[in-house]
Amino acid sequence: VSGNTIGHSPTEAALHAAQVRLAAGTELAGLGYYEVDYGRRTCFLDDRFRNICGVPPDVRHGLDPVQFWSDRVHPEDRPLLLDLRQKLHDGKVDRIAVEYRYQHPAEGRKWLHHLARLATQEPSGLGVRTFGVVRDITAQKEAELETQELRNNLQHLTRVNTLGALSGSLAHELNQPLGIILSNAQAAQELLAQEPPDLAEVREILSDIVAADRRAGEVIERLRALLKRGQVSLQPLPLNQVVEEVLHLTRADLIRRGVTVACELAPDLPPVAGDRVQLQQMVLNLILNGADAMADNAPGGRRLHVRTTVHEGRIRASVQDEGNGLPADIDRLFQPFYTTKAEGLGLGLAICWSIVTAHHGRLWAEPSPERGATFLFELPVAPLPAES
Amino acid sequence: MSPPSGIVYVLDDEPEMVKALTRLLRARKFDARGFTSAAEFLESYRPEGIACLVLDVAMPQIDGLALQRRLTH
Repeated sequence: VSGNTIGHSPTEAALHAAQVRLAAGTELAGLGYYEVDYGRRTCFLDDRFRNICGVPPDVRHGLDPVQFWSDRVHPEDRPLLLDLRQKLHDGKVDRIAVEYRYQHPAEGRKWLHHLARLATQEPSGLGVRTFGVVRDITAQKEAELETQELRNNLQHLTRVNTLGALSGSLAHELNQPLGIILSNAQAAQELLAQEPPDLAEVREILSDIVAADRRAGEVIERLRALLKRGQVSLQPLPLNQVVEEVLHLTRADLIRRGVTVACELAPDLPPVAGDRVQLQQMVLNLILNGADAMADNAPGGRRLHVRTTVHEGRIRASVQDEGNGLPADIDRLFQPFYTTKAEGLGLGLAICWSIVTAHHGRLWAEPSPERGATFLFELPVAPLPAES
Repeated sequence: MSPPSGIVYVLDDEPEMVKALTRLLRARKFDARGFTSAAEFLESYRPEGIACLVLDVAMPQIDGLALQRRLTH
């Protein structure tokens, strides 16, 4: 970047051309460019970098601009960034790419996308040199967050909607333990009024009351978990348990609709990386969909097969119905507001699609072997806990 | 109070419910008999004699209404 005015050797011409290309490229891409030499304690920022990060022209001495920039990285993002920078300096990685929040002195909170890499090491061994680019991605990021929020709201809405559909089932699930508690308590009152009271029986009654009460509590807990509006957190999770919980919640509803469920859950299934509530939501939607598809079948012909297996290192689950089968325009199945049901919103499968995508998995539909449709999804196995 | 005569059948697919209801009935000196499926009930049910049936409606396989139809035929 030194203004070299002596002669115009072919080398200089090539260098100049390269600089022009770099400048044109970074301008078109909206990139701010910088270089840091930690050995010589100097850095270079181009004007776009100064604009994007709001580094004033007079902050130029030594590594001051680097300090100015790092002081304005959002405190929650700074540790990650400094950690990545250290990895780069230590040669553990040769480049980094990271998105973070940044407090621009004049324009306020921004989102930046930052790429950096190690320059080829100089023989002097005077410490590392890095160069990189930043890009202002605030608009894109805000749109992303807004989409995410809409998606969360939509999921919440469909959960509430599903819950409405399940309310009969839930009333049953709660009434049953309450009825058990009531009858047991009345039996105990009766026994205690007798002479001599059968205390052994009363003791047994009390422990049954405790068990029934716990059961009611679990139903409410599951309900609460399902309704909770929260962030996605991918945790190692036993998929079989998720399936069983959903089947438990829907049991009375399925009996009422005359649907029988055959379950084949692979034993020793490795955990998936998943969000419990979202996966419950997905399994729930698929099961209710399957049940809806068989509403016109003769009683006795409403069978649902739920399976889990390991398939080529991924965990696969399927819900197979004996209903009307798949529509001709199968690709539209997973689009929002596409529905084949008179009272359907057309959101169930679209929600499943967004859930499976957020889980780095896939979801698809196939015709069932004899009649009806099979919906399948595959999820990656949860990674082992990191060693570092 | 003399013990009531006749049998009370309790039929529910939820075993804990059957247990609680028969327990209560027995505490009140009824001859209560519990079953968790219609098939099981039909095997030991004797139509003669006075009896009362406490019947759950939503059950897998034969549900309460189907059983009632079968009994009244």
